Parts: sequence; structure tokens; C-alpha cells
Amino acid sequence: MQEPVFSYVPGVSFLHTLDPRTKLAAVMLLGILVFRTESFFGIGALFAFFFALASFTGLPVGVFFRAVRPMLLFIIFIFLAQLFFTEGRVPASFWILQPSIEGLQNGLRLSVRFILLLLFAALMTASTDPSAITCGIERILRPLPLHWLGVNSFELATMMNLSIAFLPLLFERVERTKAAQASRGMYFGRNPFHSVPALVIPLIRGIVRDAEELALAMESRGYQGTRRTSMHELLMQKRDWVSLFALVSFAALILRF
Amino acid sequence: MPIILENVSFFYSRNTPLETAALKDVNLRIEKGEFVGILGEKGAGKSTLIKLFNGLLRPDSGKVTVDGLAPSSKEVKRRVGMVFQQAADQLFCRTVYEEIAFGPLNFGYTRKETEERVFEALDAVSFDRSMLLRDPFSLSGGEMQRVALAGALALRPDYLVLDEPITGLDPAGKKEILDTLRKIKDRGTAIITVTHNLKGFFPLLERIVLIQKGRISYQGSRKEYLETENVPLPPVASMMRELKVRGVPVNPAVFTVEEALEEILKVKSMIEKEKAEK
Amino acid sequence: MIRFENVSYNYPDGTPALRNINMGIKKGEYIGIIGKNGSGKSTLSLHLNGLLRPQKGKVMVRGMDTGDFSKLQGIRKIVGIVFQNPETQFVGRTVEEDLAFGPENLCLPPMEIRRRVDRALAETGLEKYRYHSPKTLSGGQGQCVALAGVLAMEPECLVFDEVTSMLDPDSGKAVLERVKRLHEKGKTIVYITHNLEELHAADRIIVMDRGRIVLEGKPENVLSDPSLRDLGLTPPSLIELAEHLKNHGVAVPWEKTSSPSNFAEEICRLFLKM
Repeated sequence: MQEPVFSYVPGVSFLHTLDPRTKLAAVMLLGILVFRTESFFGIGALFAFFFALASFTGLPVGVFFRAVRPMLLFIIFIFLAQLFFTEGRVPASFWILQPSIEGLQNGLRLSVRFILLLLFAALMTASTDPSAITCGIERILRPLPLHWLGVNSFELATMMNLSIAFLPLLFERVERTKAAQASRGMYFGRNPFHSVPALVIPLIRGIVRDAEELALAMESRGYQGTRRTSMHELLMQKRDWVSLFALVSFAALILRF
Repeated sequence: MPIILENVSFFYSRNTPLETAALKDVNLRIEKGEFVGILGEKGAGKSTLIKLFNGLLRPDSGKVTVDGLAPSSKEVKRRVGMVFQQAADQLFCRTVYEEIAFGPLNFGYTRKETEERVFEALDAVSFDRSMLLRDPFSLSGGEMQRVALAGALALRPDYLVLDEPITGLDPAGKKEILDTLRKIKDRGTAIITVTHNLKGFFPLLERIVLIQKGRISYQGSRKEYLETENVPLPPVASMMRELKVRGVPVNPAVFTVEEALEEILKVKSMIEKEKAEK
Repeated sequence: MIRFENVSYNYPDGTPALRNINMGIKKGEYIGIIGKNGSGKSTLSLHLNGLLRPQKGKVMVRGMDTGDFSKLQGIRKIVGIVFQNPETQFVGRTVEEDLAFGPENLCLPPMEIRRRVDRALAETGLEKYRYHSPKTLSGGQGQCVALAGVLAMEPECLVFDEVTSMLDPDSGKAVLERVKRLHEKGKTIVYITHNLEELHAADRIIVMDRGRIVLEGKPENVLSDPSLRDLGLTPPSLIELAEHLKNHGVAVPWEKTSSPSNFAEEICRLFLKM
């Protein structure tokens, strides 16, 4: 069993009560901010901002840092790539590797930016009911002319919900098929041409069957891929507008430096 | 030599706050040629237990040996064949032949040797040769499960381990599988099956292992099992026990309709005789 | 309430799944449908709320034709189906969200959706799992969520399509109890299964074979019908025993074959009377 990452923790904090659209907009804005901020002072300020928000939720900070863990290898890779492939002053070289001071700065900046982005995203997912997030996205997308792409915002939102809901089922299927084939003497590492089909074919067949059953169950419950309502009432309240205003001012401030 | 489990414990999510014990201090011995039923509620640890037999899982403490070998060895995977509930989870070839040959080829047998084993396995599950070129996905549920059984039998295992082999099948499919298993057992292969279908499996089981909350709460012969208190029973057996509890002098250790009929009629004629004497 | 008129349906590969079916289901009735795999019983269930539409003949639900696309949403409000595998019926990440799916599709206002979700949760005793992921629940609880999801649409008729075949016997019994209670509350029930032991409480049983209705009647007549074995169905063992006993002059009435303890009680009573 994997520890849940990016999961919702029910609560009543200030962040919990904000409209999901406010939080979505905030994450987007903060995302832009994170990548536009060049100075280490600005990044420091963003970190301080994160800790301030995190303390609002009343949750231990570790919850959010858990979201960074699965991406850690990727972040280290970026850091090393920047470190060794940025041209600049080379204080000491090791064999063919030539770390540069500029590389160190770039690497640090880039990896810290990724970490910040993940932290802010984790902040949103921990304080927002997942279905409210999709509902918020659906509302934001609704005015867009998506029908040109052959979809509508309702379908997109349902699709997002389903794909997240179906991940555990998929993992379970992988485990079952792996156990069955291993019992027939298959070793996974040795010959991928041999083992990949034995794993992938039952998996795809299974997923298709699951999907067919799911489609029937959905249709039976009245799903038509057209307009539908939501259990969550979305209402932009005063505190949403105030928070957004405060955030925009904060962003302007940071970008000035 | 048998499958032996000594003081075996197994935990999920070891060393995390989510740690849960799936099996605690399990001692079990399964001899060659036996037909053993592993009973218990969902989540009691049955499926975990059987995955220890061929090294799919390793115990956190205690020791598992199969014929004296460690279960992680490849030879044990050959000696212990395993078939899971949903045959569709493992079928992937275009023909039944390839499907059955998959195991033997994994173990590096020659084409000729493999072919011989496929024919033998086909025979063991009562399919004729015309099946070999069929697409496994065009078969019925019971037939798919028989292909999966044949795939395991092609390795000539000494133990055949099954996880809920008839759950989800219709009555005809269930009967197909039960008949096939009876035949496999008669050829000398030990069968160990996890099941909660008492009605279907009871006539086949020689020994019963009942697992409750990760511990073995009962193991013994079917006859003793029928006389044990607080164990799940098939409908006829539990009716007979009720009769006994209510003071009717029947032998409660029966489970088939015919035996129950005989027992009840015996009591009936006894009562009639007593009355006639009066 | 539901009427099948000369309904025929072929699978995409051309083999007939339903051949000229005529039947009716009355409001408040509890109907059991049995047959082995491929007998057409699941195809029949999908016709009940227009998930499949007849290729010949028609299906009417309270006067609405399932072939009329504009009526489909209305029909699905009346007839809800619970399927075999709980896992492929979940569309939500929490139980609550899953239950809201149906009412959301009916475009109900948020307040009304909340009310229905709360009611369905209370009815099935799932309140404490409101924020759980349906996938963390056991098979029996999972089937309960699937049922609650259908109940939230407040249908008049509930169809159960082999809902216990993936469950262990105890959870299966619990589901069956629930079905019985829903029937007592006035819901129309169509219960499809291949386990004859589950049909004791039905008002009427329909036996299907190769796309046709081959046997129909009250459970006491159908479940002890000798032709069942020829159709690949196993009669409940207690009913079989009762039949044998009757031939030997021990008559266990039908109602007493529903459970081992009732059966034993009756035998004791008969013996004491002797």
C-alpha cells in the first residue's frame, strides 16, 4: 500500500472554506509567480508565504512535503543537469564533469521552484474536496468554446473524476496479473519481449471490460454527457475576493523585487 | 515431503503507521496428495496465506518450506501451481495451446517436451485437441478457468493451489471445475483451495483449515469439522446440527441430501417402532 | 408497470439473446429471474431501463417506450439497476460523491441532491463511510454503496443483476435482506441470479434458457421443478431434501425450507406430533 499523496484532509480552516475556483486561480497565479521570480529573496518570500498558508490549515507541514517525494528523483536530475551543463566559472573539475557556480545557482533555483509548485498544489488538494476541484475546473472551463474540440466542460470534469477514481483499480489489476504470471514461472526483468505482452494484454482486456461495465452503470444512472448539476454549491464570497486581491498585491510586490 | 509453515507471521505496510497483521503464528503442514480447503471470511488472511506457498510473498517471521526447499526458488514455482479467481487476468495468447505452453516454456523445456505436457494437461482438464487452436477469450467462464488450470498442470506440479476457483461462475461452470478438480486429485496432485462455497466444495475436501483474523482457528478432517462448534457449514449440515441440538438423535456429521434423508428416516422409523410397541 | 411485447434481441455477432419475450411486471412485485450464463437474463435486465433497446417488439415502462430517446431519462428515473461488480460501478472518489452522481445527472438543484444523498446514506447505514473512498470498503459494503447510488435517484423499481456472485455468503445474505426490506417498503424488485437459494422470498420466478422464458410461476412450484437440473441449475439443497422427505411421508411445508433452523424446527414438530 502506498501512502496517499495529494490527498484531501477534511477540515474547517480558512483555506478549506474558500471557493475551489479561488484556490485554483491562486495556484495558477502562484505558479506563474514561482517561475517569474529570479531573486533568492523572492523565492524566500514565497516559501514564507507557503508556511504561513500551511499554518492556516492546521495540518502538519509534513503532509505537504510528502507530495514532493515522488518527484524527488526528477528534481535531483534537473539540479544535476543544471549544475554540470551550465557554462560558467568552474571552481574545480572532476574527471569530465565540470560543475559551474552559475550552474549551482540555476540548479538550486529551478529545483526549489519545482518544490514550491508541488507544495502549493498540495496545499490546495489537501484543503479542497476533490470533487469540488473538478466542479471548480468545470465552472472555469464552461465559458470556453470547447465544443470545437468535440467535448464540453461537463464531460471533461467527469473524465477527470473518473480517471482519478480508476487509478487504484488499475494498480490492483497490475498486481493480480503479476502474481498470476509469476506463478507460471515468468521473471519480469529477464526478457521484456516475453514478459511485457503477458502483463499488458490481460491488463488492457481487463480495463476495456471494466470500462464497458462502468459505461453501462453510468448510463443506467442517467449520465448522458450533457448538462448536469453538482452537489457542491459554488459561491464566491467576500473572503474569496479579498483573498484574491491580497494575493495579486503580494504577487505584484514580489515581482517588483 | 510436504509444504510446511512454521510460526509464520505476515504484515502489510510493515514499519508504517498502517501496519496490519495479515497472519499471526501460523503452523500448517500440507502433505502430497491431499485435498485441503482453506475457509474463512473475507480479509481473514486466506489469500495472503496461499501466496506464501510459492514465494509470491515472503513471511516477516517464521519459515516456509516446500519439500525442504525455500519458496523463493524457481523449482518451487514449478512444484506449486497456482490459479487465481479470475482466469481472464492471466490469459493473453491467441490460442489455447500457447496459453498452456507459456509455463513450460518459461521453465525452459524443449518444444517437444512442452508439447507433450500441453497434451497431458489438456487431457487432465477433459478438453479434446480441437480446443488447442481456439481463442481463449472466446470461451465461457468455466472453460477459461479450465485453460488456466491446464496452464498450471503443464508444469506437472505436486501441489495445485487455487484461490476461489468457482466464484463468479454459473452452476454449469462450477460443476465443470469441480469435476475437473476431482479428476486432478485422483491423479495424485495435492489440491489446496481457498473457498467460501461450502455447498460446492464440501464433498471434495478431505481436510479443512479455518482462518479467522489471521490465525488458524481450526484444522482437521472434514468429519471432525462437521462436529466442531461455531464453524461455517453448508445448509444441510447446519440443519442436521440444529436437529441434534433440538434433541433429535441424528448423526450431525453429514452434508449430502441423501445422507441427511437417510438419517432423518432412520429416526422416523425409530419413533414409529416405539409407538407400535406402546 | 413494465411490459415486454414480442421482444427479440441479437448479440452483435448475430446469435439471438432474447427470442420473442412477452412478460409484464406489476408495481410492488418481487420477481426473480434465473438461468445459466448466456440464457439471456442479463440482456433482459438491460432492456428494463433502455440500456439496450429491442431490435424487434417493444418495452414499455409506465407507458413510455424505451425506444424513444426523449423518454430515456424519465425511464431511468423509474428503473434503477445494481450490477454485479461493485468496483466498476463507482464513479466518485468518496462515497458521498458517488451517491450524488445519479441526482446530478437528473439536473436536480444542489439542496435536493444533498437531501437525497443524506437519505440514501441513512437508508443503507453508510453514514460513517460518507468521506471514505468506495474502494477501501469490503465487497458487501461496496454493493451497498452501489445500491445507495441507485436509491438516491429514488426509482420505483430496482433491478439487481447477479449482485451477490462476487460476495462471500454472509455479505450475500445481508444484501438479500436489504432487498427484502426494500420490497416491504413498496419498491418493485427484479432480482436476477443463478443461485436458486436466493429466490425464496420472490413473488414469482421466471426461468430463462437460450433466450426464452421456459418456466414461470410461484417459487414453491418453480424451485422444486424437476426440469431445473436439465437447464443446468441446481435446486436449493433444503428444498431437495424436503421433496425427498415428502415422498417418505414427512411433509415439510414450503415456508419452512427458507433456512436450516426453520427446517429443523419443523422436523422436530412433526416428529413430536407422531
